[in-house]
Amino acid sequence: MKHVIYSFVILTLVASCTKTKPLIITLPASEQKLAISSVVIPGNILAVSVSYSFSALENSKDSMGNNVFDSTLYQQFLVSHALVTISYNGKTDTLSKLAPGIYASAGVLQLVNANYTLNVYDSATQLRVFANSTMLQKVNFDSLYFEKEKTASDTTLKIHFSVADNLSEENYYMVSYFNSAASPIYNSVFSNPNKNKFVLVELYSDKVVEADGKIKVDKNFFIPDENDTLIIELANISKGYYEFLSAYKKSNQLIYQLLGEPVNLPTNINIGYGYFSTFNPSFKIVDLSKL
Amino acid sequence: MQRFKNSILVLIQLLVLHLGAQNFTVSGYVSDQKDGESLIGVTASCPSLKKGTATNGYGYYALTFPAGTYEIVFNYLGYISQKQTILLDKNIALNVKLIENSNQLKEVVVTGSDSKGKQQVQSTEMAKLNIPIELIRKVPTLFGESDLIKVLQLMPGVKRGVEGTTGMYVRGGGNDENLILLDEAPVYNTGHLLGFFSVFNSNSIKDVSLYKGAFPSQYGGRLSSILDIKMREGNDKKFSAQGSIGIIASNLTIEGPILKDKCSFIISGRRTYLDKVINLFSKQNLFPYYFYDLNAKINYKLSDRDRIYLSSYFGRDVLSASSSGSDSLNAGINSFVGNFTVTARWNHAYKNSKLFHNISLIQSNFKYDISGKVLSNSVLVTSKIQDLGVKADFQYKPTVLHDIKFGALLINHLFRPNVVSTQGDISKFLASREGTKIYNQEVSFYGNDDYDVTTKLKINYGLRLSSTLVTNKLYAGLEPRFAAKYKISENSSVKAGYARMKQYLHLVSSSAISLPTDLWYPVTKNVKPGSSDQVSAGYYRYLEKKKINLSAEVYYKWLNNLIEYREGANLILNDNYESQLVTGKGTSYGFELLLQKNEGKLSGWISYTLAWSNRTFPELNSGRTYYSKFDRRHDFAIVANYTISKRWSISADWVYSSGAPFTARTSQYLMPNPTFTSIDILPVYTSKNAIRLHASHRLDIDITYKSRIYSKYKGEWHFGAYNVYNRAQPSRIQIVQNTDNTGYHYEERGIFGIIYSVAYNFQF
Repeated sequence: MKHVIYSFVILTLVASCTKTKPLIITLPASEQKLAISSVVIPGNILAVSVSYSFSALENSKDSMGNNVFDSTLYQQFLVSHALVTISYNGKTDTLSKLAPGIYASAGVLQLVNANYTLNVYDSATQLRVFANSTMLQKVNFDSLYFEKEKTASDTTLKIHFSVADNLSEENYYMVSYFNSAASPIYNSVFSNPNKNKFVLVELYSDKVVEADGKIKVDKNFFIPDENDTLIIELANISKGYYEFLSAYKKSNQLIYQLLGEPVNLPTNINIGYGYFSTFNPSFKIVDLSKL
Repeated sequence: MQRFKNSILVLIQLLVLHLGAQNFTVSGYVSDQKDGESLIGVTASCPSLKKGTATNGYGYYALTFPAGTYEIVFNYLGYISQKQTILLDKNIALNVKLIENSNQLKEVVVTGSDSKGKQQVQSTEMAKLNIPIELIRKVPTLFGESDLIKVLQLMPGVKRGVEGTTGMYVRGGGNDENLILLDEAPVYNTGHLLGFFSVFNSNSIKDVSLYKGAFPSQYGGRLSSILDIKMREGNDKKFSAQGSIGIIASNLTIEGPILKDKCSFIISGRRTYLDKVINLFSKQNLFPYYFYDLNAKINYKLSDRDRIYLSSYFGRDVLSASSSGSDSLNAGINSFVGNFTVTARWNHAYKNSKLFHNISLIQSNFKYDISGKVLSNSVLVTSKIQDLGVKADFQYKPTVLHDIKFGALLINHLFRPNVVSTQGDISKFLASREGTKIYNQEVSFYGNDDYDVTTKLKINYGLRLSSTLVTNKLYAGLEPRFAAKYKISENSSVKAGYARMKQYLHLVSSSAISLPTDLWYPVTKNVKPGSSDQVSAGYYRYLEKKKINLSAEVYYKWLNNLIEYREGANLILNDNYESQLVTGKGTSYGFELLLQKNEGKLSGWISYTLAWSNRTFPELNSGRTYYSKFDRRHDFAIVANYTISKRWSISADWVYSSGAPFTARTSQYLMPNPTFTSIDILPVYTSKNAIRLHASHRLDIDITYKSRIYSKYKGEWHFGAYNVYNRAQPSRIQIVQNTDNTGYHYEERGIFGIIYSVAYNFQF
């Protein structure tokens, strides 16, 4: 019996010297598709981004182990020679390449309730996608005011605003906050993130409308730089885009990726990813030093 | 016409005979002669009439026969059978004390084992697992800590979740579809240390029964299983102690008489001490975690017919970490998670002996506190459930052909999720809140009859009426139950059953990880009760020469009003959890095989399960049916204990399980944010649960050496190895860079490689 035990102990000790070998899981190959997004800027400007989807297991480090998932690597996924057109009201505009992966036109009229059709064709891969969107009515802040509160350790900006909701319709709103460091991507395409950049996007549905028919919001922000400028953008968006952005907000946050259910984002791009939306925002620029 | 008249005459004669025959009842309690512990499931039978019964959960039996002289035989596994000749000319009280067969190694034929084996074949119960506690203690386990839930995971129809944890998935159901009762009290959180250890200390447990289908009507409240655990009562003859000293935890159980033969107690405690051991070598508090639990019970025999019991469980998981005194951050995190249950019971056997009742007052609390502080900021999050209930169970045996059970349950739940208290600047962003108080009452009534229709056919039919009231919304439902057994021979039978179950509570948790902080909520106006309908059928055989029980069962289960979480749902501190839920349905079906040998030099079992489990939710996976996360095609386990000599024995188990399904991230794309001021990378996943992990298999071994076998002080050493051949058991999935820098790949990694354990058990 002693021999059995000694043999057992020796064998298990030998086995324990080796680490448990991980098991490799084989996944189906990633299918390349076009990913689209759009933004409408007052002044009849429509910008569209076009890029390729790529494998989730794509290399992001060089041979030295440095992270290269930055502007250099991004470039290879941007579609630089696409034909991008927008059709509305019986008219078709071809968008010009503004930067790699970014196409824009300054002549797209913002016609409320008009249907816009986006067509994208990439000759390199022969991939073709299209999508439709309706331009929604512009909305403005019903009220908007600010308070600055200073303590010994920090300064807090309190923002209070309301939006009058049209109760006869199902409405969805997007409110974006960003500072001057958050320059548009077509100015500094896919550059390394600016540490001082601040961007926050909030979504509201008219389920939170109060008895007086208004959506009322109070927000607090720490202000790292009291001389900064804050831009607040309000847009009336479609239900589909609201659902896309709701899923987007969850998808790009680590806590949701760790603790939440996997999210496949909805899309209105035919055989593609992303969302084509034609909202019409209003802006408010706040000079924090003057508060 | 003449033939009709003759028939009527015969019927009248039979009726007169029946009415004229005076029936009397012999009844009483069966207990262990050594320590007075009542014995559950002892068969009491009358060979001449070929009729019998089994003792109930309190060791009580009753047999009703016409007046006469009978021989009653009492049989129980591991005990010497006992025969009593009685003259039944009035109702008789007959308490029986069985003597343990202490010399089983000589392979003395223990008739009790035959009766136990046959009992499984001849009863209407099916889809029920009953595991002897002694066998649970012999099964090798992680860190040498014997654990009944991990033993149940080795049985057919029961699947485990994450490697090494105590999650239990029965016949395609979720972990929250198991009702776990400890002396009648529901236990909400069954795991210590994120579920790696169950809260049940095997030294304090007397009996474990798991029902997977064909549920008797006295059980309800969950869709997939009922785990009924009964605590020991304590030695009413003499004081004794037993315990175990292990690598990470030790336990001690003390029991004895308060009044000899009338009143006894048992108290059993357990604590981990890895924190203390590590602190001996480091002042940095590297492992600031421990758990402890305490089981206690007192029972008192008021009279021959009345007994009262008071039992309680208290357990806590404690995590307490803080930065060192010199650290200017003054940061810390504390967590307390635990259950507290109390059950007070009164048994009474009525004077006519045909009626027996048990009244229980039940309290069960579950609470967690998590607090953290940095500088002057602090956050405390508390959630709790408080249950207070009363339950009345009656058992009535009018004749030997009928065993009628009926009763009622009233339970009041109070839910207090997500109570937040903040101090300092952080309160501007996370305000203190009282949380919502949700009161919910569950009321149910049941009745069922176990009826010998003929010598071959026995049926069990019953009905349960369950209901719940929550925020002025009443839900009620009928739950029919039926089971039938047809005897093919003395040692073989076929059975079939049907059961509907309702569930009025559900567990809200993220599917990505399972935490003790997952919250239970009652149904609401929008979230309707879940229900399941299950049909099952099986063949049962007792191989008398080999002392082996064989069962082969098939089942099909329909699940309705199941809840899942929306894609992207996050439930942390989310009081508006209803908006995150979606409703759907599911099915599960399969085949289960079990060969079990509970005695002799070689004991153990072989189990195999072939199963499917699907879910369909209109709002998930584009409405397409997908495999549930508990879907495993094949499960196999072999568990064996071999007694080499009086001092040495060896146990081993080998388990195999098909890979679990999961949702993988296959693609990604660049997406500017809505303001076009930054870029994010967004994931693309496969359809839900479309990818399979690798199958897992593992060998565990435990060698036992009894160092003292003849003295009053008994000791035994356990030397164990978990995952002997060091295979990665799927517990986490990682994306890892390829060695040649060409990209990444998915890897399955295990938490535990091979783990040795040593433990010393003692008893005196």
